[in-house]
Amino acid sequence: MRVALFTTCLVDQFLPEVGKATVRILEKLGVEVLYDSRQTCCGQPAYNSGHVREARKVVRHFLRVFADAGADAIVVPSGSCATMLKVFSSHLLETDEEEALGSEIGARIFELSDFLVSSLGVEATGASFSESVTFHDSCHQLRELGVRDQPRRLLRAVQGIDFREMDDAERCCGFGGTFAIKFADVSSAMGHDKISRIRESGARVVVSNDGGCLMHLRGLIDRQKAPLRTMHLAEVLARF
Amino acid sequence: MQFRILRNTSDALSDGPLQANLKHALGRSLTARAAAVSEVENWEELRSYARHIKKCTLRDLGRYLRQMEEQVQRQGGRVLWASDAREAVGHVLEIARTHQASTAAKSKSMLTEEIQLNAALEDSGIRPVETDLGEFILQLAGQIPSHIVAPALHMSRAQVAALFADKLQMEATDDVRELTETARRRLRREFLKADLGISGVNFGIAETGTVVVVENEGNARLSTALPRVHIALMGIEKLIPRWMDLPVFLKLLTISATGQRITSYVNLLNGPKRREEPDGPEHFYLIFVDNGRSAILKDDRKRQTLSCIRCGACQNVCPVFQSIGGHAYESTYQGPIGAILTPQLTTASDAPEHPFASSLCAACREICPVKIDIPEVLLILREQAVESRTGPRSERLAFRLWAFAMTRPRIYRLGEKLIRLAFRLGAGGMKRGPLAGWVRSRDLPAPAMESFRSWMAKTRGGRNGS
Amino acid sequence: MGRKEVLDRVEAATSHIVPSSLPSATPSFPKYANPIERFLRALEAAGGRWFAGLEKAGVAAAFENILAETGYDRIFWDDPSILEVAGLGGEGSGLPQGDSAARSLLQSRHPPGKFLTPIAVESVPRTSDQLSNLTITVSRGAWGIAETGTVVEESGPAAGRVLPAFAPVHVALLSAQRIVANSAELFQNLKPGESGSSLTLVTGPSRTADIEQTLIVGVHGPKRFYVILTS
Repeated sequence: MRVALFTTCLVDQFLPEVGKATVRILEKLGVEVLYDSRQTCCGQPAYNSGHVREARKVVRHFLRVFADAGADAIVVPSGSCATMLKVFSSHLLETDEEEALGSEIGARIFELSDFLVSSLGVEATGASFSESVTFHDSCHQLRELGVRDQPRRLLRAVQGIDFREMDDAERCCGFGGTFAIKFADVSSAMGHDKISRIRESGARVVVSNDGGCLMHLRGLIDRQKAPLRTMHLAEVLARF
Repeated sequence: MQFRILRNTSDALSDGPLQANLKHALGRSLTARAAAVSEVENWEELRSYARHIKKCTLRDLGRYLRQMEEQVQRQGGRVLWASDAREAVGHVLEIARTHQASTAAKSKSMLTEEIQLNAALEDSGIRPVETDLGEFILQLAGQIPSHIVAPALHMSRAQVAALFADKLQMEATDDVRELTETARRRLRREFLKADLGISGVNFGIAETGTVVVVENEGNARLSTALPRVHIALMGIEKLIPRWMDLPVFLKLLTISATGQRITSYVNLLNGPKRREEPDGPEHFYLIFVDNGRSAILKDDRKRQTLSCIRCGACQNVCPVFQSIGGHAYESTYQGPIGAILTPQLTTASDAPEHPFASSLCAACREICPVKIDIPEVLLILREQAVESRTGPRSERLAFRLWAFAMTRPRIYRLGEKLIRLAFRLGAGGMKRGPLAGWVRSRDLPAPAMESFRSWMAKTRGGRNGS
Repeated sequence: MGRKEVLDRVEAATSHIVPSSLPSATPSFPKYANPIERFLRALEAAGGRWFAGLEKAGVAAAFENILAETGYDRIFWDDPSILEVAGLGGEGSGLPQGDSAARSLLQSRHPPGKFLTPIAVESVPRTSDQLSNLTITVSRGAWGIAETGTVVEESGPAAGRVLPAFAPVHVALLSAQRIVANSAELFQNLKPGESGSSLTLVTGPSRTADIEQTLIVGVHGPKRFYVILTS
């Protein structure tokens, strides 16, 4: 199987370890990974802020890059960016031709955990991790893509892991793109609530698969100097 | 009038009692709802059905309004139409004059809040008495509701006790039973005295001309039984076409609002008292209020806003509402539904922040009994805000530059270098500029030493690495 | 004024849409093997009380219980035929002509001729004083809903809106044959506006949770709500 990787701009610039981990996992599972370095962003920051024209340009760039990727699937280590490309982009495309291309490509886009579990049928990646871990659902992954169980099944299959479900796991962490800046205080308060739930679960590591949620939570945790670590799902699954 | 949110958020977040009251009340509502929903086997079917019925109604609203009008008239009621708040208020005042009314017993109605009826009544020398316990508390406190269903949920029993002690000259007690009993005694006198009974309408059934008022306290029942005149005010979107559709809507409404299978009272009213009936209002008026609603009808994607049955579930589940409460929104309708309704009922520039006061987590869509896609409407309103250039110019410019870079891999890579340079120069600690809000409570991550694409190029040689 | 403007705007806004037709089938509502049992349990859950499976003598005893529980000694009604249903009196009598058990019960509690002062249909308009002194009111429930423990109270020539709503204690007499499984079934049997101008679905006593979500029973309407189920 050939997979084209869309790593997202956050991973590219801020969390390259996540990209590396994703490549390691896929390659270990015998998947050929293609990477086109012309890729940039999914367009979501603009789309969610109402800057539709700008978002459209960026989505079109994505389609241009991935139109001839020659891959069976396009894998994205982010539920939110996968949503942008798979679901929201359809609101932006204008011509019939574009829409056809968008839906053809959209059908091949998978969030990483969904791809591993639903397409490859894999739950155990062979990773081991002796830590107490809880999972934070990204809202887009959960409510737009309907991906809920896949990351949990993957985590539970990690050797030595102590998986704990937190209360209100499905409640938003407060990131929300530019919301985190425009309504910074509210966003932070929501993040603090989330951190309290994480700590109450007894987990020392919070795992998510969304760069935005992770950066937001990490920013709050670092400021609080809370005894917690954030990790991307791929980073846990690649510990083999 | 301008409704702003940002200027209230830090006060709301640091208001300890408010935070405790919100957490307590919203949590309980959600728990009760979840338990009730789990008992309904075909909950999803009910939701889809109701959404469909509302869609059909809104598409043919003119016909249903006429039908409702005809049915109410046939039963001896009068129907008045108001294109805006001023006209609606004018109708009520005119009715009050006709019947020489001096007091009005009001049961809970968000629409009368929207058109600010109480102030207009007072100005004309008519005393409005809010009879719903929560609304009664707020009238004493001089406040507006902070929630569609539980209007005083922002207050604790201690706050209510202090208010009653001050305004009703009763001894301070935080015994809720005693507080309630005090309100009961006082309001029973008002019910007996009132010339007008003013109510809202949860559903208007076009087929039968029935006005449906849903409640638990019995105050709506009394407001529509004792006074000589009953005035029902109804937003034009509150219609449902058929009698047989009501059970579905009732179930969705009461379970979503309070987790009750049904409320204590569902009042189904068909006009004034009949000649042979021993009591009931001699006059019945139904006022259809547009006040911005017909403008929402036009747009195929925004029309769904008018499907709302005012259950308040989206407010209960919204993490933003949970954090700041209703008053921070300043507007009549608050939380997710308020964020889409307010800018559409008024003008976008009256509520410039409302569409942005959401993390787009979509918990509201998931809980909505009539499946309104609130995030979708929020996004449309954001898009319109940007198009009408109400937002900051710097943001527009920033996104233009961003799109320029994101569609040109070479520029993107140049940007990559610039960001790293900016960080070395200390941008991570910025107190001003676009990221100031982020930095106030969060550390800003520094860009990685080496981007993923550089690593890929180094280790795999890249592909199509133009 | 208003009317033309509103309708024009509504019609202009929707003129581009083809109306969609309403579905003919409605979603299903629950059915029960034992609807009466379900009715009583649901009523209880809503804070209502009940007496069931009674012959006439039992109905009188139920009233005895209610009088004892509430401490009141007078019962009011709009509908004179209530007396017959309740086994409390006979036609045209100033005194109860019901079965002897009921008669002796009532006579033991009230001097003949003065007990059970009904606010008669003719006494409209009712004075505030009369209403302020209401104690227990009795009316006939038109239907019961098993799913929710609801009683349907209709206004009509012999029943107003006020008494069941304003009294501190209300008793609904309901025939067990009138219990339907759910509200959808009820709505097939019920035509709004047919019997009178008002129909109320009543489920338990009046309640509020407006202060700190604390449930308080009896805020504006009846504090106690009883159903006497007759067979």
